Formats: sequence, C-alpha cells, structure tokens
Amino acid sequence: MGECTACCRCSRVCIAVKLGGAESAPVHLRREIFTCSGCWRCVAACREGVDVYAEMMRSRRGRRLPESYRRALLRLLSSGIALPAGDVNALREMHGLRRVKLLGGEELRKLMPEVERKLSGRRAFE
Amino acid sequence: MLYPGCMVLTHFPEYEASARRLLEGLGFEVVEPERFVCCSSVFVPSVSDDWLTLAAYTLAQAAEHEGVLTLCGTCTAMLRRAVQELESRSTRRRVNSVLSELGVEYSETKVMHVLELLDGMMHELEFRRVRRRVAVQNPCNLFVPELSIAGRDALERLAIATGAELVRVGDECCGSALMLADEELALRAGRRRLQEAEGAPYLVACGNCAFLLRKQLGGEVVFFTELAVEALGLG
Repeated sequence: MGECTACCRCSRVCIAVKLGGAESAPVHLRREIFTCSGCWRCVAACREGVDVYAEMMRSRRGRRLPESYRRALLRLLSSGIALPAGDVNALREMHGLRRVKLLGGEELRKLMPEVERKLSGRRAFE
Repeated sequence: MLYPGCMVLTHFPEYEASARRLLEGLGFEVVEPERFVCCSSVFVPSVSDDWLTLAAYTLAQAAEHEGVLTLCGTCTAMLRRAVQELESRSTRRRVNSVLSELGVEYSETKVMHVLELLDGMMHELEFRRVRRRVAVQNPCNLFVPELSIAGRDALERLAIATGAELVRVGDECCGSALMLADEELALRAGRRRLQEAEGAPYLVACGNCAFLLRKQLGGEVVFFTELAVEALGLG
C-alpha cells in the first residue's frame, strides 16, 4: 500500500471536482467526502498505489452520514435492498422474470451487526 | 448466476430480461441467487467493514455455479473487491463463521460483467446490422485496473460490430451516484452528457447510468444487452 503525496491526480479526474462540487484536494481528504460518483477513476489515477477508495471509506466513517445514506442503510437492514422499492416481484413478473426471495431482517442483522449498531446509536443522526 | 443488483431489480427489469435472453441465446444456463441482497454498494463500506460479509453472502450463493454475472459497474467492482479480500485465509474464516449461521459458505468464485463475457465472445458471433445511432456511456468502475477484464472500448466495439452509427463523446462518468450527496451536481453532469450526444441514445451497461440519463433527465438509453439481442436475432 502506497502513501499519498498529495499530487492530486485523483482529484483531477474527479467529476465532482470538474463540475465545481468538491474542492481540489486528494479525494479521500477533501471536505465533501460523500460528494462522489463512485466511478473509481481516482483509484485508477493514483500512481503511488494508494487504495483511494478504501481511504475514502475510512474518512467517511469519521464523518456525519448524509440522510440519503442513512435511509438507504435502514432500507438495506430491513429488506436487503438499498433503494426504494415497490413490489419488485410484481415488476419482475411483468417482464417474464422469476420471483426473487429477499433476506429477512434477522438474517440481515447477522450480516451487518456493526451497521445496525451504528444506525441505532446517536452518531449517525447528529 | 445472474445478479441484477438493487438498481436493476427496482427500476430496470427489462435490462435483466434482455441479459437473460442474450445469455440463454448464447447457450448459457442462467440461474438467480437463491436469496437476493444488495452488493453493499457505496452505503455499507461508508460505515463499516460489514460490507465484506454482505458481498460474500452473494458470492457464496454462486458456489455451485460457474461464477457471478453482473449488470452494473458498482456491483461488479464491489463483488470483485470482496473476492480479492477473501483471498486471505483469516478473512475468509472470519467471514465464513458469520455466513455459516445463514447456511452458506464462501469458497471461491469469479465475477464478470455480462459485457465482459460478451466481449470475450465477439469474434465467434455474427451480428446483423442494426439501424441505430448511439453514443457510449461506459460503466466507469468496470474498468479499474487490477479489477478489469474487458478493455475500455468494449461497448464501442459492440456498437461498431452491430453496424450502429457511433456518435463520438468524451469518456466521462455520467455522475449518477452524485445524486446521493448533491442532486443538482448529478443533474448537471447528466445534462452535460446528454448535450454531448446530440440527441443520440446512450448505449449503457449499468443501471446507475440509465437511472440518471433516462429516469431523472428523460434521455434515451439502450442497454447493450438489448442491442446485442437485436443484432444477434434473439428477440
């Protein structure tokens, strides 16, 4: 694992920076740590071997979670789907697809005990 | 095992249906995951290392199949990252101790986007010429070095092979996931992409790109699987 030299190659390929929505700084160190398109071009751009994505995730864990993330995680913990979903099986049947079974809340809590703990604590809401 | 991911599951069943038609037409037997769950996306790794256990649950379900086939860039990248992490024996043991409570075990599997599979078979296929004009929107994180299998021009090559007229645009991210933190920024990114294409539909290989360009901005998109099905006469 390499070390960041703040060369900002990652920042120069970042769509959020290009559009003026994030400061020009190493992407894992910037203030707008959640303003990210998830393209991973920063990962590909780094010449120092820094796992920029992993570093960004580490930085996020020390910050306040945006409401959109909190809602997605709550959905994920209850249904296994992160996005707002209606009756996915009705939609699938309309397109000739087989029904899917979703994981239940108890199983999901076993897979994500820390997520549940963090969401039920105060920090994520602050 | 064809894994649709949350975005395709909730918004684009036609993408999954055309992928299934394509795969079956190419001679593959397609199965679904026994139990569906999110790949962990950007959400879980933003708060916890639980992302790995969650991703491993999906991977473990492919144990009796030849691998996991994906339809979005993010699912592909997250599941592949999980495969890499699970190469460590101690990590695998820790993750499997949780998975065993749910009756599954991760051993080893591979993850491939359907585009990569198709790209690898292109030389064996005979495409009919289609009358279409398209621009290409790459699924960015499919092409992260070390994780990628297909070349960055896989979508372009498919379009050319089918005889579609290609509208040249820059290789830029659509900006879809920016919606989560800054909706206006995402819409600006998407509008810029649509302007660049000068009215041509975008050929896409990811539900997230389709979500921004079609669902949010009313632009036209064509899933690469739909184009391939049409050009291979599998419709």
